[in-house]
This record gives sequence, structure tokens and C-alpha cells, in this order.
Amino acid sequence: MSPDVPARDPGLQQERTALAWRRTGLALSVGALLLTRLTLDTLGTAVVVPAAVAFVLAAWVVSVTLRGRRYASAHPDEPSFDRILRDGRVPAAVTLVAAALAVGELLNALVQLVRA
Amino acid sequence: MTSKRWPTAVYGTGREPDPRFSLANERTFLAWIRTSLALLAVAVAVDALSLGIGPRAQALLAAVLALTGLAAAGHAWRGWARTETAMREDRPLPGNAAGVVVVAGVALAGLVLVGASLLRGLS
Repeated sequence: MSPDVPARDPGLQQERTALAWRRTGLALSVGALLLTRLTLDTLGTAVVVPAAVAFVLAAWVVSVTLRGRRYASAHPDEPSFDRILRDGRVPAAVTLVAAALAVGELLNALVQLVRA
Repeated sequence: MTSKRWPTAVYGTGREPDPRFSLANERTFLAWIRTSLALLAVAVAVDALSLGIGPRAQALLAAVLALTGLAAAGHAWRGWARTETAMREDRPLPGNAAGVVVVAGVALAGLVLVGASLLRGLS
């Protein structure tokens, strides 16, 4: 190793971010499955449709973040630095799934409130 | 190259910040999403377990928690977009007013729980 070789980012920003994406994606998938099971009795079998969409989206997030191309380089000295294109699509999908789960649970609680 | 990035409200202005800051912004976004999921998990747990405060108070408690979780998810996105835009335009970062909303939601949930328990104990 010569001193000319660019140093890796000592803060491991991209690795930490990739791991944060993965654990959030997994939590979303598990959340979608759990919520489906628990709201099935209150809201009826129709929940399966939005739940399936949420689960597929969550699984897509996990697969996108596992591919790692998004994390090609996060250091200005590395050659692939200029080629990464990060944008708001995956964050938007994650927000949508989380919001949909929250709305599902809110509906579930309201139905129970009315019936109680 | 930048024109293909979505949303254009964020990427259409300013210039590219150090990507390490964008990555940190993403992790903050994800931390808010997990906060939202944690609040949801508590709401689901409240739904599934019997707390001895009556079904109505329990459903109300779950609704408050789910609503707070929804607010946290909304802020995750809004905060990410505002922070990214501010970094691109080299402006000061936006404040964290959404934290107050989550604190208020959790406090309200606590009040419902304590209030319902007290009412149960009195009757």
C-alpha cells in the first residue's frame, strides 16, 4: 500500500447507512406481517391486499439495500464517487409503508373503539 | 444527470453536498422511521393484550399511539427533504419541532393509561 492510495472513509458512513437501511427494511417487513395477522379479525380479510403490497414494498427496500450498488462510494477521493446517484425514491417507499401500517393500526383501534 | 433524481423539489436546487452528510441525513430519516415503527408496535401490543382498563380506554390508547406513529413517519420524510434541501442550498438546517409532537403524543398516551387506571380503581 503506497501513501497515494486514497484512504477509506474512517467513519464507515456507507456501511453504517447500509446497515440502517437493512434493519429498517426488516423491521418494516416484520411489522407488515404482524399487523396483518393482528388486524385480520377486526378489519376482515380485505386487509390482506394492502398488507401484501406493503410487504412487497418492504421486501423491495431490503433487496435494493442488499445489492449495495447504492453504496459504491461515499468518499470524495474514491473514483466511483461521482457516479453514485442517491435520490428520494427508496425513502419515499419506506415512508409510504410505515404510514400505511400506522393508518391500518389506527383504523383497527377506531373500529374497536366504536364497537366497545 | 441531476435532473433524473427525484424529488426535483430537493434535487433541483443548490449543489451536491458532501455525500457523507447525505448519508447521515438518511440515517436520521431511518431513525425516525424506526421510532414510528416502535410506536406502532406499542399500539399493536396495547390492542393485543388486556391491560385491565376496559376495551374503550385500551382502543383509545392504541389510537393515540398509532396517530403519533403516523406523525413520526410523516416527519421522517419531511425532515429528510428539508434537511437535504438546506444542505444543497448551504442554509442552516431546519429545527426539530416534530420532536415536541412525539413527546406530546407519548405523554397523552400516558395520561390516558393513568386516567383510565384511576377511574377503574375508583369505580
